[in-house]
Amino acid sequence: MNPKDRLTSSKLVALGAAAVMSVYSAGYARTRTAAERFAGGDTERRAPTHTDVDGERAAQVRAPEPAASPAPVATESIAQNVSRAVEPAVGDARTKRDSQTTVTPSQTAVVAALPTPAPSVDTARTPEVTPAPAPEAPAPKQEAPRPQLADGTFTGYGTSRHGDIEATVEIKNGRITAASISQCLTRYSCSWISALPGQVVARQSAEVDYVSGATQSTNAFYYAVVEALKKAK
Amino acid sequence: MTDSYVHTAAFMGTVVTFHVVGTGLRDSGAREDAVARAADWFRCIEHACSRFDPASELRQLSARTGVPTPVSAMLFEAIRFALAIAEETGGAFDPTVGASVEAMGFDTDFRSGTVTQSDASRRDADFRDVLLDTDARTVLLRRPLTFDLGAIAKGLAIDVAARELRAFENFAIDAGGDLYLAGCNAEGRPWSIGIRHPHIAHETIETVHLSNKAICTSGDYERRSHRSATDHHIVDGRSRATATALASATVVAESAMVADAFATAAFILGPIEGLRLLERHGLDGLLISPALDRFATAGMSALVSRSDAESLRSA
Repeated sequence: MNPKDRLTSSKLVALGAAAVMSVYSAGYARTRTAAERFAGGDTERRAPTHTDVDGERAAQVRAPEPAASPAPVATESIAQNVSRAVEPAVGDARTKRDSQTTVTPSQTAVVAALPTPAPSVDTARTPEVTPAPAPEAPAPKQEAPRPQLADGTFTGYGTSRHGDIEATVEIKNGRITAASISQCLTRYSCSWISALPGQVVARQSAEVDYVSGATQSTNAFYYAVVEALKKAK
Repeated sequence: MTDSYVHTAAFMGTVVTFHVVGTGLRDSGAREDAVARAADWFRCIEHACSRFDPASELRQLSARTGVPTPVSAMLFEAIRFALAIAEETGGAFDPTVGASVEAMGFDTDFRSGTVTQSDASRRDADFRDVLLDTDARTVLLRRPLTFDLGAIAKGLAIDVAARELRAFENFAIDAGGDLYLAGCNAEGRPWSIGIRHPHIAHETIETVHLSNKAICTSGDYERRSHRSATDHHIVDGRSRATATALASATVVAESAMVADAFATAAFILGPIEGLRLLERHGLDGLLISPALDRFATAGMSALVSRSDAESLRSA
């Protein structure tokens, strides 16, 4: 480290604040365009070209090995979990209602965009409609049995006594790549539901744990995801 | 009923919740746009700083030794701050322990399931092998090494996302238990934040009330290794072994990046050195030993007792 970069302890906290401002400033122009993008409901998710090394980096990026194909075991568990999950959803009218609109991928403002492991996230594309792989990133081979989930972005709704929950599940190559929830008009802090969507991604199903003190809304999220997954089948 | 907008998504191996307490539905569009931008920051910073994603800027940088590599502001600032903490802690906190962390079994991408594994020789490098040029914004690695910016990147993402939401007076960002709290909660009171009990899930050991502060906790209970029952993901840069002096370390600061980094550093340093570090930098913290002994800075003791009073008032 250069001597001029060496910090005295009293400057450490200030350095942290400066770092945040530096990053934010560097990306400010980008977030403005992001705002317009989201406002327009445009689902084209283009990774921002906010660094001056993107071009160089893209050139260096080697295609990663295709992510380990989903094992047949995982595939089966999805099917089982989903079919098991759908039943209570249908049976319980209180906690489920039909989604008000048929959400097609192009109408959905995707706010939980998770980058796929492929470097092709750095190139402009419309993944929901045509998951065209970048030339250097061949799609995983279609050898393994695929779960019965169609690619796209699907939305479901659930109701809790704290408010309505909307779940968005993104499916790519038959796998859940992103799950998010949005909730409006809630009365209370919703940190108790925060453990759930990640689990949906990890387990590839709508099975979620109960969270202490949050049983009600756990269910709402659960049914919202079930609803979303039903559309993907 | 108070109008709130809550959005949750998965980033950085954890779940991130954005909670904006609003004043009406009129601006709900702007609110959702701002949250979308805030979430986008998490995606970008993850893409720059991920140790797992082969396409991440961090991994590209790690593949180059001996030449100055220009990097994004995100990666540069994260590394610069990490190195400053490393220097301050004599290498106890070290962002180059990635290979050792991997060797303990923290090697699987939460999203793809892909396992990453670095060359064993990378475990020998330390933070002194990373040279920065601030003017050119380049990073030079003197030896092959594997970064682990986990403690820094998540905090940085929280801070920048909070910056993105600053038009709203009252909001919370929760990234897997690392939080930034702005203004008040939906009841118009300072945010009430429980500190997780280090041994018992779903239980809190203390409560604080915070406004316009970040609070982060490093614990030995998160992300246990699948290879060893005793290993967790916080590694002492000096010994390259799991830090064991504390069960958890909580730090309150203006910035989540500062809170997260200092919580990790204090966790590694242990109760005495850890407290000294926090006091020296004017930060508040609560350190809990494996036997549940508590070590709090003076400021943190005051925060906790104020919260006791607050709880009594609202009861």
